[in-house]
Order: sequence, then C-alpha cells, then structure tokens
Amino acid sequence: MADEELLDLLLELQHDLGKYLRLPLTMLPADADEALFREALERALRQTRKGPDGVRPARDIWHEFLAELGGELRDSDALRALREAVSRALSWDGVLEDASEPIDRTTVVAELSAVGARIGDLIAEQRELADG
Amino acid sequence: MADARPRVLLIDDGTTYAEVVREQLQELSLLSPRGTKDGRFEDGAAALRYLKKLDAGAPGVDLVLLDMHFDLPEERLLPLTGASSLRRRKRFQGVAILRALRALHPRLPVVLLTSEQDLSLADVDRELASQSMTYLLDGDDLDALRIRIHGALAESALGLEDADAEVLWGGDARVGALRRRLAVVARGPMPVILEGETGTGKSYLAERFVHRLSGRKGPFVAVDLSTVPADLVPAQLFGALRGAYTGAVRDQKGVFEAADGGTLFIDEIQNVPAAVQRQLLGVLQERRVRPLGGTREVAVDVKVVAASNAPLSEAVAAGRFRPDLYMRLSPATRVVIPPLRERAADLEFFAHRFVERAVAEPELDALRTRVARATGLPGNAPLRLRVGRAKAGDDELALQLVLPRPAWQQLRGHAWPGNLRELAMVMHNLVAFTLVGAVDALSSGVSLARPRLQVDPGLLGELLAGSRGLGVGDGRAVADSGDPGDAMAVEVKPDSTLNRVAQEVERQYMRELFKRTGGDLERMAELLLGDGSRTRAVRLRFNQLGISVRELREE
Repeated sequence: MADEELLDLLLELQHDLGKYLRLPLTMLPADADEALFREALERALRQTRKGPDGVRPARDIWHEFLAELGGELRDSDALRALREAVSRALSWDGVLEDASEPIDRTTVVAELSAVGARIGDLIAEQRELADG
Repeated sequence: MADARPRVLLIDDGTTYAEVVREQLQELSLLSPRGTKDGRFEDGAAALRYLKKLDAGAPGVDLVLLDMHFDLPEERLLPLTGASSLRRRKRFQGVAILRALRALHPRLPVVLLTSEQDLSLADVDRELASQSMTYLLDGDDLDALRIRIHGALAESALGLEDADAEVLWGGDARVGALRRRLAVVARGPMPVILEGETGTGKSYLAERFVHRLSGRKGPFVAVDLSTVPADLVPAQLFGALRGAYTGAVRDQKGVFEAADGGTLFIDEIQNVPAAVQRQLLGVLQERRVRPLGGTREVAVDVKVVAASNAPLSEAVAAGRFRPDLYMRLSPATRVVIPPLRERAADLEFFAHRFVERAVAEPELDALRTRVARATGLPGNAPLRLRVGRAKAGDDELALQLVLPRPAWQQLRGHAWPGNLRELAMVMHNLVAFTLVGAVDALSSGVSLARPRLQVDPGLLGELLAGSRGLGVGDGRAVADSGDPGDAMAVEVKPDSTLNRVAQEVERQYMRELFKRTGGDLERMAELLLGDGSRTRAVRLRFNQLGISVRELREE
C-alpha cells in the first residue's frame, strides 16, 4: 500500500472509530444519569456510525480496517498500542448486557477516548516515516 | 405561539449530531424541511437546493451545522478541486459544500462539526481560517459545541458590529484573533478568563463586549479583589447576614447575587484567598451561594469573567491557585490581551482616538469651542492630533493638536507600564493642558493666528515621568489624617497589584489634603513639592489620578 493510501486509511479510521467512539459520551451533559450514560455507551459501541449504509458497530469498523490494512504495519509499536486500546474499549460492551454491573464512567470515557489518541499516534508515526 | 428558538440546519451523513442537538441542545430548533431525514440533510446537493430557496420565501436559517467527512457513494458527493482520491473527496466534502454555500450566503454562520484534532485540515486550514462567520470546534464535548453555536449566533444576530463600535481594537493581528474568540465565548454560561497587564482594558472589554454580546438581561457587576481586605472577600463575593462577622451590622448581598442574570467581572482573581477558592469552586459548580452566617443557599445565574494581570497558570504552578478552580474557569478558551508596548503599530491609532474621546468631555469641549472661534474656525470644528509638521491636504477646518516628531518618538519609546489606561490619561492631559494654555493666552490678550496648538515637549516629558513615578510599595500603606475617622489603610498582600493600591492611597491622600488646605493649590504645592509655584504639577497629578478639581471644589 502506498504511503498516501495508508495515511488516508488511517485518517478514515480516526473519523469513523476514533471520533464516533467517544462522541456520544463526550456530548453528554455533566449531570447525565446512569441510564443516559448506558444509552450513550451503547450508541458508541454498537451504533458507532449510523448513515445511509445503515448501522456499523465499532467492532465491525475495526475489523474492516484490519482487513483492508492486511499485513501492513506488522512491526508498528503504535499499531500494537492501538490494538490494545481498541480491545479495552470494546470490552465495555459486556457491561451493557448486565444493567446491575457498575460502570466507572471516568474509566469508560478515558478508555474509549484512548482509541482516538492511539490512532493519532499511529498517524503521526506514519507521517514521520513518510517524511523520511 | 411561534417558535422563537434559533433555527439550525444540519448537514451530516451520520445521525450522532442530530441526536445531540435534539436531546442536549433543546434551546435550538432543528429544521426538518422536505429533503431532510431525522432532522438533517444527508448530502450537500439536497442542502444547497434548500438554501437556494431561502431568499424566495423558504423558512429562514439562523445557523448551519456542517459535517466535514461524508461517507457517501461517489455520485452523491460534490466535486472538490484538489482532491486526488475518492477518500479525500469524502474526507473534505464539508469544504466542497461550504464553498457552494458561501456563494449563496456569505454571512450565514456555519459551524463545522470537526476540529483540527479530528482531521488533518492542513490543506484547507487557510481557506477556513480566512472566512468570516465560519467556525471550527475547539473540542468534541458538549460545552465546546454549545459555546461555538451560541458564539456564532451572537456574532450574527446581536451584530458584532454594534459591540465593536464600543471598543477600540486597533489593527494588531493578535487582538483581531482575541476579538473573534471573545465574541464566541461571550455567549453561553461558561466562564471566561481574561489575562493582561494592568490597564490593557480587561474590565472595559468584559463590560462593553463580553456582557453586551452575551445577551444577558441582568446587570454587569465588577469587583476588584485587590482592593478588598482578605477577611472580607467571602462577604463581598457571597454576601453576609447581619452579625455574621464583627462589623456586619446589616444583611449584605454578595456580588454573585447582585449580578444574578447578568455578568460578574472578578478582577485580580489570583488574589482570592486560598480558603475562599474552595467556596468559589462550589459556587461555580452548583450555581448557588450561601451568604456568611446563613443556612439557606440562593440560586444564581451568573456569567463569570475572571481577570488576572499575570497568567493564572503560573499561580496554579506556584501552588497559590487551586487547579480545580482554574479548570472550572475554562482555561482552554482564555483570552490574553497583549500589552501596549507589544502593539507599537497601534500606538498612533490609539493616540488619535484618545484625543477624540478627551475632547468629547463637556469641560474640554467648551475650551475647544472657545479656542476654535478665536482662530476663526466654526465653534464645532473638531480637534485632531497631528503628528509632525502640518502638510498640504490637512483638514483646514479642524483645530490641530500638533505633536512634534521628537515628542512622538518620546511617546513611542515609552514602556507604557499602565498600558492603554496610561496612554488615555497622557493624551487627556495633553489635550487639557494645551487647551488651558491656549485659553490662558487668549485671556491675556495673545491672538492665535493659526488653528494649530503645539504640544509643549516639556509637558509631555512631565506627563510621562509622572506615570513612570506611580508609587509602588509593599507592606502596609497607611495615611493618617490625624482624625481617627479619616485614617486610610490598604492591606497589601505579596501578590497584590501594588500600583493600584498605591494609587488608591494617593487618591485619598490628595483629596484629604485638598480639604485640609481649603482647596489652596499653592499651599498643596508647597506641602507636596516644597515649591508653592508648582500648582500646575499638583493639578496634573489630580488629573492623573482621575480627580476633578472642579468637582472637589463643588464638594
């Protein structure tokens, strides 16, 4: 994959996953109650992109990205860190099944936001490599 | 009943922002005309078809929310010059829509639903930054979105031009940027931090620009914490009930309550004592105050403008200011006003404007009229500052206050520690003393052949030296008139504004001396300067301190 093509793919991921994984949570009012927070978390993880093509959950967006990426960036530390961040973020899906399971809001927001930050690191790494 | 809420048109391929506006920003009316789906136009073509009809009687739009990245099939995307791939055309589709929209509505406010952090906008940054009424988000939280939207609406609906007329901005690029930022943060309930040296106009901007653009109906209330003794700060801020402390002889409303529904300007906020900072944080969070000695809390709706003459972050780093209070004051949107010495290109602009302002005062206007008539000009001839020698083409129907080049260089070389306030004072005094001198000359039979009043270079030197010599001290400044009831005392803390304290003490002292000498300026000159003939210097000092001798005599 050409440098430019790879960068475009990462920027698209930043938009589709990095931004929309955190947006439903960061757009909540400070005094949102537990039910509202759970609803927002569900939107973030399961209805991450809702548009003309229907609903795409975060897990699908991530897997589509990996499929398109193929074997690129195998040795990238930034990609490794991103994989871990995505894995932690997606694991919050479990709490949606059980309303009695407590949610640590600060950690949830931090871990979902971390995905965008790690994509940013990966973009920065690739830009640096491309600039030579 | 007609819906009076601002009408917002959303152009977005996804549903997230439509949900946010509908659920969290109910003060806005999300338009859903034909062609929209879930309160949004999904692509640029449909939105532009609607926007084309606006002038032909379609319901109006107050603001457009526009996404940047549109994940749509190629046939639904507008062409975008410079986009080398379909992915890029999608990523910057918002720019293509914006270009087409601007051709139709150049002044319609547009908030782009993206920030520089979300997308690499390097290619289009310059284009977006140069557009008026186009805004990027500062972050992706609800407050950032709300502030942007209301700021854009304020600029558009309240008329930034009207508020601009109240403020002298000058041409400095940094000031242009801060003006734009202030216009945005003025709207909405979030606090605003204004940082700038003394005299840069923080209080003026807070009242004439922020409060005005905020659209708030309540009053503008200002409190300067450097002039309030530390132990009285809580009562001053939150109020006190009778008997709450020694000397509290009646219930007293705090400034938060006094500013309810309006704007509270807290000057020198870095001087809030540590113990009060926690209370202040609570008030900002809960929007309720409890007066000292009271048990009931009072709800307050106040927009806080917090000013500091040094970066508040330094006070935080030094452990003098609570970090949580600092964060609550919204430091991300703080506005820093540059000192006058860093705005050399604006000096002449301000000098001219301050001359105009000075001569608009009735006393000086009366003198101007007299001098103008004496030189053969109409009584309403304006007084204009002229730097350097007169030239052909100068306004011959104006009275000219001529500032010779060397005097101008003297002004340019001055450090202006008192910033705009000091320059205003100097220009006011130049006008006052030059007009008084001209009137004195006329009274003694001298005729003024030409409508040019030369500024006395000695006077300018004296004025600048006077402002350089503003008293600065430390510890406890006390002036005792001998009468226990007249004792003056100002507590000076290590981080107080010493200039301000020293000036206040001097102001009180000069008033008292005037009273005790029965208004005898020669006597005052003798007492203060050891030379009874230097009454002009005494008058000058009164002027510099903002005291009118005429009013003192009337008192």
